[in-house]
Amino acid sequence: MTAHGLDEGSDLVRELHTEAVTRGVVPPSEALELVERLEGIPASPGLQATAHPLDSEAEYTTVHCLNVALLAMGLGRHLAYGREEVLALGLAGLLHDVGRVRPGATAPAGVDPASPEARASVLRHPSEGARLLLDSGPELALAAVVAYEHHLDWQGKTGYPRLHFPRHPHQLSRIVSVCDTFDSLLTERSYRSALSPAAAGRYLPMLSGAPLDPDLVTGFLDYVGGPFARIATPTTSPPAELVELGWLPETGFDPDFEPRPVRL
Amino acid sequence: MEPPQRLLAPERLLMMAIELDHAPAPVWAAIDELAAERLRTLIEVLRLAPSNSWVANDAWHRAIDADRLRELVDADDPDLETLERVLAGIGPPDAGVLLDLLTESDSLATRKRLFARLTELAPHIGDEIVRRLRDPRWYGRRNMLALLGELDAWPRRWSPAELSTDPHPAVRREALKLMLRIPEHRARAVCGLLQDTERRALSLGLAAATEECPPEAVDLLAAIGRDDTTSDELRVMAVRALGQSAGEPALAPLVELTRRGSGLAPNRLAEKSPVLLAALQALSAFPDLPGSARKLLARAAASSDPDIRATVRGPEDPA
Repeated sequence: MTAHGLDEGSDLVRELHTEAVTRGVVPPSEALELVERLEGIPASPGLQATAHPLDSEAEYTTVHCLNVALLAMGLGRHLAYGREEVLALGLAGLLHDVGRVRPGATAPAGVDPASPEARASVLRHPSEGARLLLDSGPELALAAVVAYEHHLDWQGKTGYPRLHFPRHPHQLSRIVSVCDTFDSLLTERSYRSALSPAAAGRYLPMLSGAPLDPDLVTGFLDYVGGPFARIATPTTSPPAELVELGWLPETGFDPDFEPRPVRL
Repeated sequence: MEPPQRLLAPERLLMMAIELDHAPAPVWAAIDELAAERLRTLIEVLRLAPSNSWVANDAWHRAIDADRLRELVDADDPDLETLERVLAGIGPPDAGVLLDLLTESDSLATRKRLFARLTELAPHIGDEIVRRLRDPRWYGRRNMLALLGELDAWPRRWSPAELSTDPHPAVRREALKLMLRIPEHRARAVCGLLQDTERRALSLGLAAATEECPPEAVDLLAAIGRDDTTSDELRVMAVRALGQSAGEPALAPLVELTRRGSGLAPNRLAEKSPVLLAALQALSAFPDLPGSARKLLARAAASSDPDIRATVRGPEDPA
């Protein structure tokens, strides 16, 4: 997949989400095919891809899932995981938020995002996603686990959903949590403004240990500090870009950035 | 950093399925894998599951079937901890498998474990136990009776009397033992045990008669006391049971066991034996003795044999 192909990737993610909505399952072979195409993105600097404007929650989810898949696969490779694990990370990243696209999984348009109704729908999406992915076949069982666990803290003590069986989330869940958090920080949300990659990179260590796995935060910062990390920038104005995430102080520095808890 | 667990432990999938209350095909595959390879882990997860989880309940029934139990029970080197947990998790609806295994297992240790669990379940499965009393295998019937023996109350309209004439002595003995617990059947049970040809049944009957001797049993006890083909130990028990009754009907047989001789010398003591000593001791405890019996006791008191004297006088002062 070329940089231009990332656009194509967004279309494929959108199709997967449509399948999830209309049929209640994600076709495993198509999801894996997409991940294999993401795997083929060359690691040359300066690569760019366009993305669709984020004019809806669904559009945000589409680009966000793609970004998390790319980040997770890149981090997996950085951590010297084998191809099997890297592909599993791609699938898990791609599908971790699939629960948000199910009918009724998110609050209807116009509902205050801070309302109890909206909050409840947010809390539901990991379980909704896990159910959907379990129904989709054994190939997506691990992705189902990641979808279920990606909003838990790295020790499984806080976050959601509430666990009956106390346990640490799966390693892939913890990786996706880090990538998910990072990508979310880059996006403007109704309750906070977007951070630049550099600001997000400075913020991330504050979440190390609670809720994120400290080793993985270190690994992630080490990874994105290198030359090969790229994501589709979630922006409301096209074209979105793949940007380099080198942590040079002057890159995307946000002088107004004030650390504060992030609502995950 | 360690690579991720390769790649998904089945127990993680099962825990999630229980929490979600949702278990499509991949979950069942995980359960099968656990049951085949790490049963202990599976049991532990299911044990800790919410009691109302249908996923856990179905997983249990899928994993712990009769074959799996048999495999666990018959293993050369059984995992006892797992077996205990499995047994503890089996409820009344599935107790039939345990009842089968109780009858089939060759291992005494295993049968003890099964019996212990079935004893806990027995109050809930009384009718099933009674149904299995028709088992053609004698040990099957005996086991069921033993389980019924653990119950405070038996299923309605069932009485152990129906097996008191079973062709196999062990079954008869178990049935008669249960009958001893029913006041209206006790005399019949004691008499049945005393008439049984099996030594253990006879001992049981003698012990029951010694505790409380029904009048119907006196003749049988007397016959056992007289029978010199029976061991002294059992004859002595019979004599003591007669003495315990302390009733008029027991007096004649006790006197008879104490004396020998003809009409010319009717009050000679019988030859010294454990039976004689027991009979003298029993007679001496009787409240109102006729003259003939008192003469026998007087002879015993004057005997040159210290053991005989002691039975009627108590231990003598060596001084």
